[in-house]
Amino acid sequence: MPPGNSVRRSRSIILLAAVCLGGAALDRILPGLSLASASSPAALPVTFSNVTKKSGIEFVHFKGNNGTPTILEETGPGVCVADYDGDGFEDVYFVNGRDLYNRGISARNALYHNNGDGTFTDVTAKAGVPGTAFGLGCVWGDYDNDGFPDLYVTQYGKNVLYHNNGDGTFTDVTDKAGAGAAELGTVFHSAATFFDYDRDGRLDLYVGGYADFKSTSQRACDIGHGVMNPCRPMVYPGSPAVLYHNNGDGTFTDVTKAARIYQPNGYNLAAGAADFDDDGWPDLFVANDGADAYLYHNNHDGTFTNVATAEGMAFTQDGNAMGAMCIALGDYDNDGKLDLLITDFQLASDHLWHYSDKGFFDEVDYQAGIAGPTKQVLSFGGGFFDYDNDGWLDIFIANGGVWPDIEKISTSLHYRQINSLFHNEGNGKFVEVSKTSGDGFAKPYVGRGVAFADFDNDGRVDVVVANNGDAPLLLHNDGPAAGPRNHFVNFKLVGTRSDRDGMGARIKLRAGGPEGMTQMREIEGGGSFMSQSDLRANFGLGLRAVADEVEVRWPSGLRQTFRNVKADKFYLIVEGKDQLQLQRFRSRGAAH
Amino acid sequence: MRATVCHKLPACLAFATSLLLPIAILSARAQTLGGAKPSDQDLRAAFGKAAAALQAKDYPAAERGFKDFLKLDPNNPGAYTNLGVVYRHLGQMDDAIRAFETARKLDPQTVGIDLDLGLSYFDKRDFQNAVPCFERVLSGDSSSLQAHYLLGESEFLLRDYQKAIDAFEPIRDQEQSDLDYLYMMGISYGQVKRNDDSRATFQQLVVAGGDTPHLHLLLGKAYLDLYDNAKAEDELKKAAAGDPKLPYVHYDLGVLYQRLGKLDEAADEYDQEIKISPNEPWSYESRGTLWVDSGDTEHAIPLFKKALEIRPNLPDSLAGLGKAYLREGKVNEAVSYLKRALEIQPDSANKHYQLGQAYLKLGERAEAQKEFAEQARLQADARDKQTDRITGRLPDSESPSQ
Repeated sequence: MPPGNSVRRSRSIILLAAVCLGGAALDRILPGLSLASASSPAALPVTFSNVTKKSGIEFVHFKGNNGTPTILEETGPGVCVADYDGDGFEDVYFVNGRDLYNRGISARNALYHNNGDGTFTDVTAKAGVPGTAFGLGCVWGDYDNDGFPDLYVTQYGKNVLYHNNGDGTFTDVTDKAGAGAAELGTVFHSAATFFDYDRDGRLDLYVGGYADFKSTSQRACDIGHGVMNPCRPMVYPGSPAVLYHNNGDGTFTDVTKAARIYQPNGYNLAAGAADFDDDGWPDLFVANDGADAYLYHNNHDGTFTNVATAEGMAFTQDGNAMGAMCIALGDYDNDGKLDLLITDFQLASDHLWHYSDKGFFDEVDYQAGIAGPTKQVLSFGGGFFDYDNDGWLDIFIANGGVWPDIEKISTSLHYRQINSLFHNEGNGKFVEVSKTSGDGFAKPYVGRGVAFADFDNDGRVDVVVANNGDAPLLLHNDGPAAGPRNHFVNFKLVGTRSDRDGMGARIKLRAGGPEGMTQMREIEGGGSFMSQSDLRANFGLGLRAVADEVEVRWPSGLRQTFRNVKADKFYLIVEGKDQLQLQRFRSRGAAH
Repeated sequence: MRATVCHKLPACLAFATSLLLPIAILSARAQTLGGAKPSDQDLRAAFGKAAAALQAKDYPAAERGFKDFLKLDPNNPGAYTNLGVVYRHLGQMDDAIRAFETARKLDPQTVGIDLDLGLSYFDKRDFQNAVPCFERVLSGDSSSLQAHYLLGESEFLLRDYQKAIDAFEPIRDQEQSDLDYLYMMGISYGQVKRNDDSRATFQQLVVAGGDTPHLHLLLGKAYLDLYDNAKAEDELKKAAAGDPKLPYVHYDLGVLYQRLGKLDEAADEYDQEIKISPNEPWSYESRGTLWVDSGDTEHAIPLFKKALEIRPNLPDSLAGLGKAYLREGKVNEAVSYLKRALEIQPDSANKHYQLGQAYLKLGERAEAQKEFAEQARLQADARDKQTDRITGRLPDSESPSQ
């Protein structure tokens, strides 16, 4: 901050004075002007259509506020997808708020069955998964390896674990399983992820805690000029997360302290598990809102060590704590190593870390071109996905403010925001293409959780966004309007010795001969913002009609290799079986 | 000695005290040199030579001259004072402070030395130490306009708004058309909830400023700080239109565009500011930061070095060089620059983190852990302080951890 002459001094003065001066006086002195619109990026042929209404999804998120919303009411929701009934089509679960003020307002979560024809049916009542409290996020995981994914919902209060009965219904087994995550005193639960940290073939569970906001806590804060809106999380103490070990008998044991991950002051908003150092053991990434991020390295003995600082991603490259909302892992430059995306608050860019050859995360958001376009938006869920099947992972980020009245104190920050889509140029750089990517990017929302899934099994990955206080946004990937369509290949894994969902398995795909490309995916639960995506791995192949080699490394340690895999198919890989099978899509009656 | 009122001209700030103290009196204290006491003539000649170099702005020669004089007359406060002035010109603020402190010990009655000392602390942004210096000036000369102004400004920057008002109010008549003064007063009144006074002062600011580029610049800065980016842009553009060469307009536009993520526009503005204010380090520093963040260390390094050539102890430029060298894999250089940055800003959690990262890359894990521990401690302190005053979620650019 420069001191010195009068003008220079004034600048430092003003910056120091921050938001707290009698700034209203200035507002009265001069009228405001709106900002000029940003320049348009180059167009790309793939578009996304908003098909929410057309799909029959009528869910509307109830934030539950009674006047000025609290931090609790402004935080959620997440969204998670899984094929709960095994018909081959990914279904969607939406999490909802509750009436905490005894107003007699009824609200519940919603499970939508994918009919396979572009429409969905609300089956919540039949399935029996309405949630049991004010909901925040959700994840799916087949914790009992019976072939049907179970559902875990994070809530304000005790969480709920729904066991999938395999007949379209679920049973609340929270108490029996001992997985309510209330034992460490956490009330405001947030992100969760299933992962098999001890590689015993059964999914364990991490459940994050956010701010310790209670009914007696301060409800709103002055965000400037006397405007009262939700407080920032640091106004409240943090909360501990819980790590559950799966006992294999339908119950879980809290091993948080034994595993050495007990953090009483966490502000978790996202959690994701992946083997960042490729040692064969899943590690755990946790993003905190306003505090350092955690990277729990798996010590292979049931314990973890937080190595986030040493790995370079606890803070931004300049040493700032992030207002981190999202964890996403993906090998965006196809170098065989998982890179990391963490989204951040408005006026702070989102963060992209490239995992360097030297074994640490190197922040590259400026070089990669995502810093500038993400500075003015408040980014929540998102992640990597190859929307145009060119073989390079692109990025989608849902944006939305947390202060409904932000426009009373700023003309450039907004509560509702347009989501962001970045195209991977294949050279380490991304270009924002939101404005040219269809009507799915035309309207601003208060975006929160994001899940990626190929809902219609057309080989192109679609997106669903859970919005706060609003209907969700289902974005259908229309593909390119003209010209040749890129090829794809899709894999669903079924573990036999490993966990049934194959979480933690790593798939490497090589296509295009010696001069071609190698891609990698790891099957991960959780991630994004309190959400979970399609666990199937979808690879874009560009114009290549065959993948030369596909290698799967299972959590059990087994490696399987498949050669000359034809494109544009949905494959099923069963651990230990040498032959590729095809996924079956029941409603269409034929294998693809 | 009475300080002159010259707070609006930075060149003037370094000369609050006289160049030539009465050496005839002071020479009586001269020590013997090689057994022989220097004559008055020798002393006058040595002092005159050094003073002439200072007046000719040959600062290295002036430094040598006053040091030579002090060999003849080691307890001469005038020589120490002038040596301090020389160091200020050379940007060696720590040396200046040492010289002024010595002068003050030797001659505690001369309040002008306190003013120079206070200014040196002020320029180091060490407002805590600047305040007692200005207070001493005022206890010796309560009418010192400059001391009132600088004391008020120091208190303002320390966020003690009531004390700022106390220091500023006695000079209101003289400063009623000074836009910076009115601005600080307006903010201070607002901070202590004297809203009517605040509003009146801002109205006075607008009247005094008229439709001048300076007023638009100030308002632009204010809106920038209020995160009202659209209004900030409007005001700063008006300032630029009114006076395209007004210092800091393009710099602030650069800051605005950088915040908005319009990095190319920000770079253009910094480049323009460098042309307008080539002797100010800030745009070099910010432009260097843009380069280094974009991964272009080749362009970044010379800009940081240029900023440091102008002002040798800029912590962010030093840290910028550290970051650039770290990126280039020149980790030892990075460590060296980051350590220098931390000598100036030992409470910067971020810089401790960056240094820790550099140590990690050197494989010095113990040193790295020390830095990370210090970062964690500072951030925890900052968080505690912040929690007390938090009202919202907008980032605080002046958080103690930043």
